[in-house]
This record gives sequence, C-alpha cells and structure tokens, in this order.
Amino acid sequence: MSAARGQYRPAALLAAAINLVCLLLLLLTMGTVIWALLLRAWYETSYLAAALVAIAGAVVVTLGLAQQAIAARDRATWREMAIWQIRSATRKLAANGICGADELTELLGTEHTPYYEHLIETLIDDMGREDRSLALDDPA
Amino acid sequence: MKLNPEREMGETWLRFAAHWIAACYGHFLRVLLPLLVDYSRGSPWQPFPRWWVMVSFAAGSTLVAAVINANLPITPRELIKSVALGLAISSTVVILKLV
Repeated sequence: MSAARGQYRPAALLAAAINLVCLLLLLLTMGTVIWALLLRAWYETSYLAAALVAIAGAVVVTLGLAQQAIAARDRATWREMAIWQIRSATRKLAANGICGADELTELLGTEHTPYYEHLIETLIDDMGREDRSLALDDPA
Repeated sequence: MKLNPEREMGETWLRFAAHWIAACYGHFLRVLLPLLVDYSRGSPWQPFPRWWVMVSFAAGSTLVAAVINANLPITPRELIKSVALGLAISSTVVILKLV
C-alpha cells in the first residue's frame, strides 16, 4: 500500500527483504532437489521421471507465486481506491454540511478499527467480483 | 461467510497444492541431501528404498504438512515454512526409525 503512494516504511522494506531471501532459499531448495534427482537418474534411469515431476512442480510453484503476487497487487490497488472513495465521500458530506467529518470518523472509525476494516474488505470483495464478471463478459 | 481475520486465513485448494509441492521439496531434500554429500566424497552408490516405500512415506509426511499449512498465503515466506515442515516431519519419522 505504501509502495503505491511512493513511500517506503522500514518495516515494509524489511518484509520485502525477508520475502526475497525466502524466495532465494526456496529456489535453492528446489534447485538442490532437482539436481540430486538428476544425479540419481544418472545411475538409476527410472529416477528421470521423478526429476521431471520435480521440474514440473517447480514450474507450478513459480507460476502460483507470480499469480498470487499479481492478485496481491490488484488487492492493494483496490484498497487504495476504496479508501480514496471513503475519504472523498466524507469530504463531500462535510462540505455540504450534511454530516461533520468528526461525526463520520466516529461512525466509520479510522484505519485498523474493526468496522472500517470490514467496510474496506467488503468494498474490495465487490471490486474483485466486478473485475471477474467484467473479465467473463468480455467478448474479445 | 466472512472469516475472522484475527483467527482464520482461509483454506483454498490452490494454497493446499502450493504448500503440498513445497512440502514435497522439503521431504525430498531430507531424502536426497545424503546422496549429494556422498557424491562430493566420490561414492554415489546409496542404497535407495523401493519406490512404493518412498512414495507412500513421501505422501504421508507431505500431506500432513500441507494440511497444516493449507491456510497460509502463497508467498515465498510461507512456502519456505512448508519446506521446513516437510523436512521436519520426514526427519522425525526417520529419527524414530519408523521407516
């Protein structure tokens, strides 16, 4: 989320670094297993099938990781949009004198309070559903 | 139905599959590392178990690991935990001399 606004907090940077180290460890593990299976296949040909399965597994995991990363990025974008819409609506209501900003903050809460979080989650779910149904309806 | 984010993260088949594959890598790391160590010393002939013993042992330990971790998101950080759990369960079985 902070990345979308162009601000990097130390905690987010640390999390990204840990994720990167874990990714390298994961690739190292997969590489080691595949190498050992190929080594084994050199002496016992039937292990070639196991090596091929391991390579397929590595490809599936990598694709899954990429797909999840894209989904997480979409979610972060939708979250930004939902927060922006709520702020905009609050401002508009306050400007028209319908409802004070403090009153709305009291009603909705702020970020990290349960009601606000549920509201954001619901809006994100709606956006995700809309996105999927648009993709399904797309004739192209 | 909404999940309580404080307690549940939600299980999906995609998560189960990803963590199962990761646990398989952990399990086979335990099986194959001795082979790599021996190979570097110049004796690559390790006696290997019959394939059905290996496959059923692998299925048992990795499925337990995958069921436990099936609610974690698919990120490198969580997948490495599945690798570690697969390695740990299979090591425990070997230490207890069950296989």
